[in-house]
Order: sequence, then structure tokens, then C-alpha cells
Amino acid sequence: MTADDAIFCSAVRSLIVCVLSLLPARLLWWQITTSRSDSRKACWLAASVAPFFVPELLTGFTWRIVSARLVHSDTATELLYGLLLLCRAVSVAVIVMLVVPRSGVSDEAIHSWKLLRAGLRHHWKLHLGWSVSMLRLMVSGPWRPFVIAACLSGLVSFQEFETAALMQIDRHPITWTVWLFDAHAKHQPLARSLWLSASPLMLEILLLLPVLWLWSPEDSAEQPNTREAGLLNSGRMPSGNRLSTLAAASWLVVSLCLFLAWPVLSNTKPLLLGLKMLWTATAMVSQSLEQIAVSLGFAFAASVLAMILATLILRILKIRSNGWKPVALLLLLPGLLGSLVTSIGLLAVFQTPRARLFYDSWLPMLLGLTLSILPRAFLIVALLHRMFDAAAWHSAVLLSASGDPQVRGLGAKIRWRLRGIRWIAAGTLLVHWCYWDVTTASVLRPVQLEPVVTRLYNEMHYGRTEAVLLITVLAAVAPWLLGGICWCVARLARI
Amino acid sequence: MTSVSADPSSKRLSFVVLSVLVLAALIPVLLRRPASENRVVVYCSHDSIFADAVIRRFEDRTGIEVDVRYDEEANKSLGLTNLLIAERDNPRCDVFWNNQTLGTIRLKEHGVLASYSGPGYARIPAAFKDPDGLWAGFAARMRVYIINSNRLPLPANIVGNHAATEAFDLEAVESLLDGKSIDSVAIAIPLFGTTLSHYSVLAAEWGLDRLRAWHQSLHDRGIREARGNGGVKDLVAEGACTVGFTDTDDAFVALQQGKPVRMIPVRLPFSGDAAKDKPDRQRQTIVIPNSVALIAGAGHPQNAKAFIDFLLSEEVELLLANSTSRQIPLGPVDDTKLSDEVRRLMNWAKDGIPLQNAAGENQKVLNWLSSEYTVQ
Repeated sequence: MTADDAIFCSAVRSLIVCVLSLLPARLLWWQITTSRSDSRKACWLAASVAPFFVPELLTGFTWRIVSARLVHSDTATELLYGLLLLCRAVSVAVIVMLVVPRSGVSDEAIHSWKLLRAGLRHHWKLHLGWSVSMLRLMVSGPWRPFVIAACLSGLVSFQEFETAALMQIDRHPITWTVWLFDAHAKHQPLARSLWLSASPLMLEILLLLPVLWLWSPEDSAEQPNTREAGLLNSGRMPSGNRLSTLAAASWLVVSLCLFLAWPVLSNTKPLLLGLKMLWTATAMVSQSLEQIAVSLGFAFAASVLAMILATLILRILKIRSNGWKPVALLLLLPGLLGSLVTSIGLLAVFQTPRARLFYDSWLPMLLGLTLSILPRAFLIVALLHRMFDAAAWHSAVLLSASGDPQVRGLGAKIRWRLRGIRWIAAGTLLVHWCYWDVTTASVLRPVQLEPVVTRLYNEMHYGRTEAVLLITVLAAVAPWLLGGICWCVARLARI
Repeated sequence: MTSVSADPSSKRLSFVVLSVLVLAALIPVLLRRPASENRVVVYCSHDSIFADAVIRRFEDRTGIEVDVRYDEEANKSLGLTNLLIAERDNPRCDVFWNNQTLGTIRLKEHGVLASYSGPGYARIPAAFKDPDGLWAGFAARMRVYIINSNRLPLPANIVGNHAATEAFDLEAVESLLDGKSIDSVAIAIPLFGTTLSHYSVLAAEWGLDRLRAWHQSLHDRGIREARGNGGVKDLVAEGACTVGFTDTDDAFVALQQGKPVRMIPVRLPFSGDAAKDKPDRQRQTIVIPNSVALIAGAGHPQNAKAFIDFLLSEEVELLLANSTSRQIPLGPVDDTKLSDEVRRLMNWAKDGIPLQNAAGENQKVLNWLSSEYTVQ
């Protein structure tokens, strides 16, 4: 199989997945935005986005045995992998649809434009012009969340590596990421790998361009896309609501079974035995906790650095005649090339005489994680800036300056809702990604510091042992615990 | 959007963010043990769950701290040997503990290794060490066929009879491998690890052309390819395949998990005239020792030598032989301390092919397989 074959297969799969993801995502988004009670809304939201937060590594590990049983059917293997990708893509699309700014194109504008069509029937040139403008209107209007969701879920599917690598038998599922890994494994020079990464990079940029265009800073600030919630409050309910609830719930059952129920059920016995070891294997637990702390330290620092860099890049891009624009955009490139190429490139850099001093330090890994996560941090920060309601923030600042403690408290509460909780959530997401990045960690970590993810990856070779499951549970719980602590601290500090 | 930079709360946020960043960056520094001269840096591609016990025992015995960097299973070839070559001019590693031999010999060709012939080296038979002292082998694995007992049941009359079982299995496996369709046979991608060593041995025995033809024939008849020996073990243990090429340690993992499997050593499949010419070589097995080597320019040479001697000692060979992976001792050991399983493996290992010739073929095989698997 050639590199082009692998890229083609990955691209076609991603295209199918991103298109298919839109319908379930739309159904779930509807349920979340139209839920009347907060608890119901939270349940729909948590269940919808859960697959995205199950690390690819663990998904691949859990499904590798099933993949082995499907070895006699390449189609079945591809379908299983496609289904797993689809569940993750739906989660991504739901998140995007929830946070993407509401369309700046009003229903009235579209209706008016449609009325113009009647007079153009016999003038094909004018009709063509009308159609193109209509398409633009729709893409930047009501279709905007779908286009952005499709692009980003396609990007996530196209970049996937760990699940494919762990499930792969007989070169199925075919992915360009695993192909590139194998090419490296046979000692391919870095320059060759960079060259081979060019085509996937172009495809990724193609997927990102519509996102950047539709989120252009020239647009006015808008509220998130919750128009239907308003429709609900005004008493207008769409037809077939029960059917859509049933369909959304069915999708969630499938998705949660694949990502949570099956992994837990198929490992219940060793998992319980593993949890017992919390009290018996104290040396192993303390070693694991130390490795978790190392991972969290790196992930935390890399995420904060990435967010700061992303903010700087955004500011540079907003200034029209800024000579730093190309440099800012160049910083985003390594992350788009993938963790493997970025890590091996950095390894080569830190082997040069000038950088050698820092070679066996925490710097290469921190830099590797930061660069790998930077494109995603940039998208998140851009999104946070787009969601920022300046008028509401100004009002909250004024309230906070009040002499009345109650009003001051209210001001702090609003500021927390407007900014604090959003940045904490974004940071937690980035920490989660960095934390589970096994490729960067395995290539760039210093000898004296072992992140938990490399340890886990090594131990996974031995199947479902109790120890592996115990470390997995500890490693999976820790980032969320940290996120919770940060949340409490930030609340107390009234950020 | 209004500027938030003038807002005092924004300054506070910046302060908090920066403090968090500094604290987070300090966590790795604080967790890092203070650099001690009484340490040794080991790169280890042996599986950590087995290597850990050996390393901790060395630390307890000598008081020397071991900073170890393990390889990742699915990452073997990409990992430590390449890293050592990349670090050649500025090594941070003192000792390389490889879970096979050919990769270490490749490092010798790149000038990464230094010579050391201590007491540990002396107890290892000449067939398993470099004559110039650049590396030494110990505690070996063996290439085996792992067989699913449900898909290929033993006749009742030979259950418990090792010799009869082995003869039955060998005939059954060779018959399966000679069949028109072998889609119930699994092998790992030979670009990596011990499967690459296996191919190199075959290239040395048969020549590259015959190896190519054999490889092509396997693929034409539908052999299943996993990404590693662990994957082969899973395919057979789960009943998706009847037979797989893997290593003894993976087969023992399946047995420990209670899977319905058994194993016999891979015997080189001579056929036709070649079999008549070399009847005694029909019994040859592929034994793949761990290897240990001192790195040229090591920062802690004395500690490194102490570690190498410890690894090559009888104590460590017995420790690894009695671990779940049942590594085969190569030097003289007190065999009363060995299990029946390991004694049986030692019997098979006596027929092991010397690996020196295979080392010469390793790069040629890798070049050919590279063009085969990653066509650009």
C-alpha cells in the first residue's frame, strides 16, 4: 500500500464520518438546547460529549480483542473503527454546535432573497449569480454550525492514530497516521516524513479554512447558537419531537455502550480485583501517583502555555498590517503535522550543539506538547473570544464596583459565568489532550521523569491485568480531580 | 469587543495564570530526583513488568540509583535503538538492555557501543556474545508456534505425552502452513522486533530470494498480520486464528490468562532437497537472547559495568527464568531452581541457530521489507 492509498482511505472515511455525524449531532443538540430543566440539560450534555473524553488509547485497548475476532472480515473491522470514529465525531459536532456563534443572517434576509428568485427564471446568468449568493448566505447563515461541525469532526477523525494502531490487523483499518508511523519505524529520515506529511497537511488546512472563514473576527460578536431554545420558550414546538427524542436517546445508548458500558463490563472482574490492590500494592500505587503527577504537571504547563500562545496569535492575526502574521501562523503548523513528526523534529533540534544542554530536561517534552496542542488551543481561544459578550462583561464589572456587597457578589457571579468557567473548561479539555498524548511523551520525555501514559502503554501489552486497570482508573480520574480543584479555587478567587 | 487589559480583575487573572504556569512547570522539577553521581542511566526494551524487579534488586544490592527508560511495545523499533543512534554524539544512556540481539549488533555497526568483558561476560557461552566484548546475550526467548487448543485439539491418547504432543503439533502446523489457504495463521508485521529477527535468521539460512518467495506465498495464501507478537497471541487465544508465530513470553501470558493455547518451537521449514541434505538441521530452533551493552562515552562507566555484571549473573538469569515470561538461561545455572517448563525450553534451546549470520542479513531484510510495506 502506498502513502497516497492510505491518505485516500483516511480522507474518504473522514468525509463519510463527518457527514454522517451531523444528523445525530443535530438531534442531540436539539435535546440539549430545548431541555426545560438544568439537570436534564446537563444529563443530555454529559452523555453526548462523553465519548470525546474517553482517550483514544483506552478505546483502542478495549476494542482490540473484538477487532481480533473480526479478523476474517476487513469490512467488519473498518465498520467497527468507523463507528467508533463516528461516535467521537458526533460528540465534537455537538460541542461545536453548542458554542458556535448564532448566525448573523436573519430569516428575513433569506426570505427576501428567495423572493428575488421569481423574477430571474428566464435569465440564467442572473439565476446563477442568485444561486451562488444564496449558497453564501446559507453557509454563513443557518448552515454555519453544520459546516464548522463537519469540518472539525472531519479533522478529528482524519488525525486519529492510537485507536487505529491498537486495532489494526492485516492493515485494517487503513489510516495514514499508522502508515507514517511504520515508515518512521523503518528508519525513514525526518525530511522524508515531513515531505510525506505535506498532503495530509493540505487536507487539514482545507478543513480548517472554512472554520476560520466562518469565525472571522470581522463578524460582530454573537451569542451561541441557541435560537431553537428561544423558539421553544415562545411556545413553538417542532413536529416529531418525540421521535427525535427517541432517536437521540437511541444514539446515546449505542454511543455510551461502545465507549463506556462495554469497556467496563468486559473488564469488571479484573477491575474489581485491581481496585482491591489500592490497599495492598501501595508501592505500585505510589509509583503510579508520582507518574500521574508528572503527566499532570506537563499537561497543565503545556496547556497554559498553549492558551497564552494562542491568545497572542489571535491578537497578531487581528491586526491587519502585522508583519508577524506568517510567524504566528507558522507556529500552528507543527501541531497540524501530528505528534509523531513534531516530536521527532524536536528531538533532532535538541540534539544540535546549541540546544543539547536542554536535551535531557523537561523542556523538549513541554515544548512538544505545547506545539502539538497549539492548533486546538487556538481554535478554542478563538471560540472563547467570539463568545465573549463585552456589554455583559462591562455591566458585570460595574456591578462589582458597587458599594453594596450583595450587588458586588452578583457582579462576581456574572463575571464567573461569562469568563471563569469557560476558560477553566477549555483549559481542562487541553490538559486532557496533553495528558493522554503517548507519542510526544515516549519520544521526548526526560529519563528521570516517566509520564503515566507511557507506563500504561507498555503495561497494556499484557492484556487485562488487574494492575493495568488500576493504573488506568487512577490515570483517568486524576485530570478530572484536578479540573474540579481548579474549578473550586477559581470560584473562591471569584475570577 | 472591549479591551480587558485595563481591568484590575484581568491583571489578577494574568497573575493567577502565570502563577499556575510556574507552579505547573515546577512539578516535574520538584519530582525529579536530585542528580546523583551514584546513578546509572539504562535504556531498556525488555518489558517493564519483568525488568522492574531486576532493577530494584540491583538498586537494593548496590545503592546505585537506576534511571530507566523503557521502550513502548508498539513502538519498539522506533524507540531506543534509533534514539541511541540519534544520541551517539552526546549520549545520556550508560547501558542498553535490549530484549533481543540483532538491534544491538546494529548499534555496534554504528559505533554506539564500547567494549567491556567483565565476570558476567565470562560466564556466557561464546555463541551468545560478541568476541570483542561489545555486547553479551543472556536470558533468551524462543520463536514458537502458539496453537489454539480448541481449534486444533489433541487426540486423547497423547495428552500429557510431551514428545508425542510436539510431534503431533509440528505435523499439524506444517500441514496447515503447506495448505492452499492459511487465513487461520497469524504473524506479526516483520518490520519490528523479534519477527524481524526471525526473518533475518531465515534470510541467513535460505538466502533473501527464497525468503521473499516464502513471504509472498504466505501473503498470497492469506496469512493474517498483526502489529506485534502480542496481537498474534490475542488472535490465537481468542480463537480467531488456529496458529500464530510468536515468542515464548507472549505464549506464557496467554497461558497465565487461562486461554486455551499451547506452544511448540518454530522449526525451520526445510523442504525437498534441502531437507534431505540437512536432516539434522531440521531440529533447529530460533533462540533470541536479551543483550546488554555498554554505551561509548557513558557518563557513569563504573556503575554501568556493575549493572552489566549484575544482569549477566546467574542470579538474574534465574530470576527471569522464574518470572512469568520464563526466559531461558544461557549461562550455567543451578537447574534444580528451574521449573519443568523452563527445563523443557532449555532442551529446545540447545538446537538454537547461531545469530551471527543473521546479523549480517538484518539490514538487507529491513531494506527489502521497508520497500514492501511502506511503498511511497
